[in-house]
Amino acid sequence: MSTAQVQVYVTLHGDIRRIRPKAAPDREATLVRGTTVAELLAALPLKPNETLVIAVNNEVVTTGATLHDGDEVLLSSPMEGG
Amino acid sequence: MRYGYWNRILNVDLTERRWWVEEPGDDLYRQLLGGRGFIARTLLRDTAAGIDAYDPGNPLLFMPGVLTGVPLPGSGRHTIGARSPLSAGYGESEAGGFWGAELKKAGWDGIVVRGASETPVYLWINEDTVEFRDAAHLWGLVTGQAEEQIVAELGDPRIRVAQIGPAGENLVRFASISNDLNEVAGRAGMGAVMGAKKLKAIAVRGKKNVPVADPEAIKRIAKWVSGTLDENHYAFHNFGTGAAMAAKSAEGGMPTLNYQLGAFEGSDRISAIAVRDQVRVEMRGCYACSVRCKKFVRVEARDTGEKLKNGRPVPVDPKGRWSIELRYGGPEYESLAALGANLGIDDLIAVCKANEQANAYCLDTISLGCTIAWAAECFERELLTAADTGGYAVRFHDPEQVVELAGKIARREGVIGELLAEGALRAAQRIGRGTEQYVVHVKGLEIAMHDPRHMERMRTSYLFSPTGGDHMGSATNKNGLRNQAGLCFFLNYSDQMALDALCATTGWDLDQQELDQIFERGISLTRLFNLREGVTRADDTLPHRMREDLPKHAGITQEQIDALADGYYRDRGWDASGIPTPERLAELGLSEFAGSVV
Repeated sequence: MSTAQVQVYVTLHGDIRRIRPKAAPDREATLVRGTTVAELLAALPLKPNETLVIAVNNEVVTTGATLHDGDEVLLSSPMEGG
Repeated sequence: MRYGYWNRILNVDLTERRWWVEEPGDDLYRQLLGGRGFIARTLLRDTAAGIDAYDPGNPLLFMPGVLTGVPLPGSGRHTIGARSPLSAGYGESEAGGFWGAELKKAGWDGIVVRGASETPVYLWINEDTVEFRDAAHLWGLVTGQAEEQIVAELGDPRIRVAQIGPAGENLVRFASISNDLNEVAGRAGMGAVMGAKKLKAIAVRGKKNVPVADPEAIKRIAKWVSGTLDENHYAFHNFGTGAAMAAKSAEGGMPTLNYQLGAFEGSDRISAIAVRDQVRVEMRGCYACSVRCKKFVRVEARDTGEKLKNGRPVPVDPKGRWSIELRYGGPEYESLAALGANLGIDDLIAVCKANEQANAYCLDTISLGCTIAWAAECFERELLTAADTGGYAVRFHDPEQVVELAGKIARREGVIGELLAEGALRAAQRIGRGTEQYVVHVKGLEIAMHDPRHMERMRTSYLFSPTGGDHMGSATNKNGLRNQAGLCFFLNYSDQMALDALCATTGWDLDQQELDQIFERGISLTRLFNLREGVTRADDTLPHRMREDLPKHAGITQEQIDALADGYYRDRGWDASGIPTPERLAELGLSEFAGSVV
């Protein structure tokens, strides 16, 4: 990994786990330094206008947030059932 | 020709040991569909104001809907209702599984249980034959044991059983009614009403197909569900409920330590993902449902070397404390949160064991967890002491204690069991000393595991659900209507698809406007019952805890509640006090009930 890159750890919860490769661990992603959450999401096979909860290091963020080396990114569908 | 229903409701009088058939007529089915429509109408018509929940005159109704038993995913639902022993008035609770569909296949649209037996009894409904059978030998048994005996003595393994456990027998106010051992109508104490009638169980066997007007259309909808599981039901299909607990905690909305906090750092350790990875053996479905969202967990106290069908070893409790039986299913999100996060417990095996005990004894896991959480907070604040509880100290963060308390409460064992069996509000009223301030309830029903400070849509659900703190949105057109029809909310059907399913089943030319009217009839009938029982606008409120700020969410103000009430009443056509107006009742064809509120 070059100094122009950062590594983040992405975990998927709820319905969005459908995009996770079967039998794969939660994914590590190597990104260009300065990548935002919106750019990370754009690289994922999401449904149009899919509503997600996005948290970085356990704090909910907006899609404009910039990702840093070592960040733990949590993506989740917001619904919880009974 | 009728489709989706038989025009036959079984009425049973346990006092007189007799039964008869009620034929409500086609118009009524189209006006109400089933569920709460029939329940609230019967309660208003057949009970006197102020009736006690345990009075033999309080009828207990088991009411599927017109979709129940149709070969359609999500059609395994039924509603159980009565005057509640826990909440302020109307009580109802829903369950899935197979029992409701079996009842429909036996040729019945519902059961009204009246009176009370002097000795334990169970009903055996074998199509058109109804028998009252002695249940003295079943009284006191947990559900698994009772079902084994019922199935053995009736001699048909395909019989479906709805029943109470020891909690219902002992009139625990939040006792549930389970069916198929793992499906539970948990809320509002319907199990205690059944216990007061000394009715242990209702066993059903049916072999008829529920008539459907357009079977090909139903097949198309069913195929859409099974063909698009990954796109439309991924989380439910793979994990069931509770796969997004970490996100809820990150958002600051995870009920923690009696709703004092909105984040629980152990959420990951008790989520549905952890359940799958550690203790889940398989997923199963309800009647005709390909989503199969029901977790089944199994744990052995010690490693026996036994392997599961998939070759994995049977999960083992590393502390050697408990075995957990597969037949009781596994915890839904509400149970994971109520018996876990809200008690500060991240011990997954303890949460699963407490859930198993709740299903075996028939206790509502939400009220169980919330009542214990109330006691634990009051102990921390020294408002409740060992002198009040026979020396028993209730604590957060104690996984063994929650398992122990489930049994003590179900058996009303000791001072602590007697106290907590009353539910949090009555226990607080008995203790006094300001403990009522820490009861998190609406209309006496402990609220569910969705904090309304975080989830705005829960405000409407808790405030206006006729049972009180219910999270299933039954006060809204969509979910209220689906309950009446017998259709599961978890199915990702659009409003149009639900309408198509209803039209295809019944053959009626329904439209969305007519469905809205059906919902309005149901919610208005429940409102009339509650008003008659003394529930007013002042009861459409949220508890003290919800007025407090969470770290990430502001407390809810009285002004916000007032605005929600004004809007909700206006949308219903009710007056400013929340009373359905005579004009509105006339529009809905409910004028006969206008005089029920004086």
